[in-house]
Amino acid sequence: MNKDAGQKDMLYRHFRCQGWYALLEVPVFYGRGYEHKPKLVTDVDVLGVRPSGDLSWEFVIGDCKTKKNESPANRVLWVRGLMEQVKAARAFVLLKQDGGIERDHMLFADSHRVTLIEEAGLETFDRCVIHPTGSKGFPEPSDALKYIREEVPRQYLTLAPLADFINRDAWNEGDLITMMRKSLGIGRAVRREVNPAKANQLAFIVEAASVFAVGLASCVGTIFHQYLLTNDGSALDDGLKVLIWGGRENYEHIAGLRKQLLEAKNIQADDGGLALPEWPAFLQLVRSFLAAPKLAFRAPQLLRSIAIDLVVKQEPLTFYGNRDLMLLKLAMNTALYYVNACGFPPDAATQIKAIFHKRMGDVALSSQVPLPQVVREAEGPPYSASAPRTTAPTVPPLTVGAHPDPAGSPPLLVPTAPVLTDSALKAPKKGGGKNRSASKTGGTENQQSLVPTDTND
Amino acid sequence: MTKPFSDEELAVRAHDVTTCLEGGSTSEFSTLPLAGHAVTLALHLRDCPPVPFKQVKDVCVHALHFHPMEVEPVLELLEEARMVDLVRSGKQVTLITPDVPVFSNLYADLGAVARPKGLTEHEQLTVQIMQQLSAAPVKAETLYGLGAEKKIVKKVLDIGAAGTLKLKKILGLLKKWQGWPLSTILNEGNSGALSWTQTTSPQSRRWPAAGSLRRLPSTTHHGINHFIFGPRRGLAAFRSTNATSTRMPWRWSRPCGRGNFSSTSTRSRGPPVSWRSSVTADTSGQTRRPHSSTRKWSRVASVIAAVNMAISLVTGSDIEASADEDVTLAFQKGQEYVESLVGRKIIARAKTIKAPEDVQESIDDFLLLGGKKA
Repeated sequence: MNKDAGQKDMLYRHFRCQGWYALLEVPVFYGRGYEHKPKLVTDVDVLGVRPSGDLSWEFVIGDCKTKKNESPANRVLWVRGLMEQVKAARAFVLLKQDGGIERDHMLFADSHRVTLIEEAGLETFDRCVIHPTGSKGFPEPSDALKYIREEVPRQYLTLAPLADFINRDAWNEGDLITMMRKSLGIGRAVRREVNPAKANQLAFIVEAASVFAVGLASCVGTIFHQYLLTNDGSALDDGLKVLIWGGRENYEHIAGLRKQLLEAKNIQADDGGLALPEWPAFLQLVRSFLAAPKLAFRAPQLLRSIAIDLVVKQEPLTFYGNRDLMLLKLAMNTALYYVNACGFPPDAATQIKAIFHKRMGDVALSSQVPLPQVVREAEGPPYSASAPRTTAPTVPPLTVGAHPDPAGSPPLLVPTAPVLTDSALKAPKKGGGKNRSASKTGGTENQQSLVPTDTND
Repeated sequence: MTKPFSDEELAVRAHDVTTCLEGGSTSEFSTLPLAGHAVTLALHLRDCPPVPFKQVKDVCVHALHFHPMEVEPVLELLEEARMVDLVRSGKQVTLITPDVPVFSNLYADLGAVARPKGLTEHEQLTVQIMQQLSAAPVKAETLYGLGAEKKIVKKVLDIGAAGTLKLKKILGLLKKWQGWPLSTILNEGNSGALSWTQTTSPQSRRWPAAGSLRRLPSTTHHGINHFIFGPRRGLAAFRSTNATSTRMPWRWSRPCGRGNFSSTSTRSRGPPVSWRSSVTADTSGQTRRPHSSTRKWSRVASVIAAVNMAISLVTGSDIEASADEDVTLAFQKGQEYVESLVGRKIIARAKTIKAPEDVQESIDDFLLLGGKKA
């Protein structure tokens, strides 16, 4: 295990608990490099992607240092350069300091939009920002994310191109809308390799859909500023195409190339020109988000939570109640569009739909969902792993803790939930190799090893 | 017997029929009300979050005047058209997840799904009659020449006449104020200038919302236009989305030429109420008498007002032309909101259109014989 794994996990939970999208160990490349294969410059330990107030995303860098007595000022200057590279709005630097960090260095850091935190003070920082319990009880371990993004593609090597994209290339694109477009292209390239019948592969698909949703939100925000809630289909059609292909000139150039290619192959163009796959469905998706554009900036987080729940075998979406019905619907449509546009097996769409319908049906039947029973911290531990559950009740018992998506729901409330232990997450590695688990147990063995266990192990 | 009509025509006319019947029902109609209600519900479910079935049912019955038994079949029709997803618990529908397309032709899509369910002879004739009326006013005798049995034509016309008493009243008012934008009529009516009662006002607002009482289009005829049975969507000569300044003079000149901007008593002086109030109201909103200097300005202002009105006539009034806001709100807010709405209203009562005398007689005779044929 990496020395800074603990710090990363804490920062990851801290970011996610505030309703941000978050990633671990994102490689950074220089986009206009000389080499055919871009050379790694550095990596971001934890990358937070948070909704800004004006319908766009902001990047937040989390930098973890376990080496003792690193110079805080040097670290600030270093991370400032990284912020420039990834266009980040803020950075958090975790340091191990014996004698504490100089107050002036902290002021200096803040003037550069960097927060210096001593490792020992992180918990206090966390509990103050996410008052009163902090993110410790947030039921989404970073290990589970690493399992989906790294271990699953390691087991199914044919998924590697999509894994490379969602782990690395997506976050080194010039803009998120281009990233969205490319995510569909990469998804289509691996569409025949996907088996949604396996829970971990379904989780991987949903995780990829969440990356697509980040780009989609960016697209929705821009289009909303341009058209508001338009019912003019042709204007939206035109505006989206130009936006997605980086301007009118670029769009027309690529559309011309496409036409020439089709003519060269004696194929008669059968559609309205260059567009994303399932274009009418995409138009409808964007239009439906325009009625509530802020929800586009919560959809990726929701999809992420489903992906995690699938691998830790929790009942998905238990945090979302009847105040989130619109969000549930839009996130479902986003995931369905992604799997259909990528051409994944129809079973993927069926399963995703079933997950959402189950939750929405439960919410519709139970009016108790938005009124959770709050148990004060004094009455019990904020986070209990001693009673793992494989199927959550319709109305989860809630304790004071942290909510995964506080933007739209009562904050600081989490159900008691199991965690994924290291041993559980490591288990699949024993059977690593291409489709090995599939050949032996059809994936069941690996899934069973992910059943949450006691954290005291 | 009847001429063929498109799927879109079927759905548009079905929508007109159900809107005008105001929740009334008749034994001759089966598919038309279903399709019409489906259009109404689809229009209102656009942009809505998933809604519990009970809430949908309450709103449909109390605000949209569906018969309680119609709600589920209508939802199933929408599901077949892929405009909603029905989440079921066992066989019971628990939640409706709407995904009503905005950019595809809603009428054509719903018509295509409704048509295979079959239309009775009465329904086919109704669509055909309404199709004719949408192009121009026609005499009743002409309708008897369509090739249908006289009895059926009479029944269809009876349904049209008997089902819409309130409609008649509103049509009378519209005739009196022919050609004015509905928003102006309603605003003036609210201030007491018109005999636009509180009873008719909500209804007249609902009709344009439901798409039946459309804005004055540029029709091809020169007869009286009651704003009703207007050209179906797509046939109107002008569309609000194509508004360009180059077309405006032509747009407003046609209705002006027909005298549509003036009441009969003040035709030569321009619009009687609106421009006067606009040029004689001071900043405090108090109306004062026009004096000599304002009269000159008034002539200019009358032209400006006429232009503005012409524009509003063809581009639509301020009233939302797709859905009733109250109903949409009811879908978007929770069950408590709906229940408070329902609580304030009288429980919806089903209304049945009275059958013609001969039909009633035949029923009575049938029952007199104890259910046996003579």
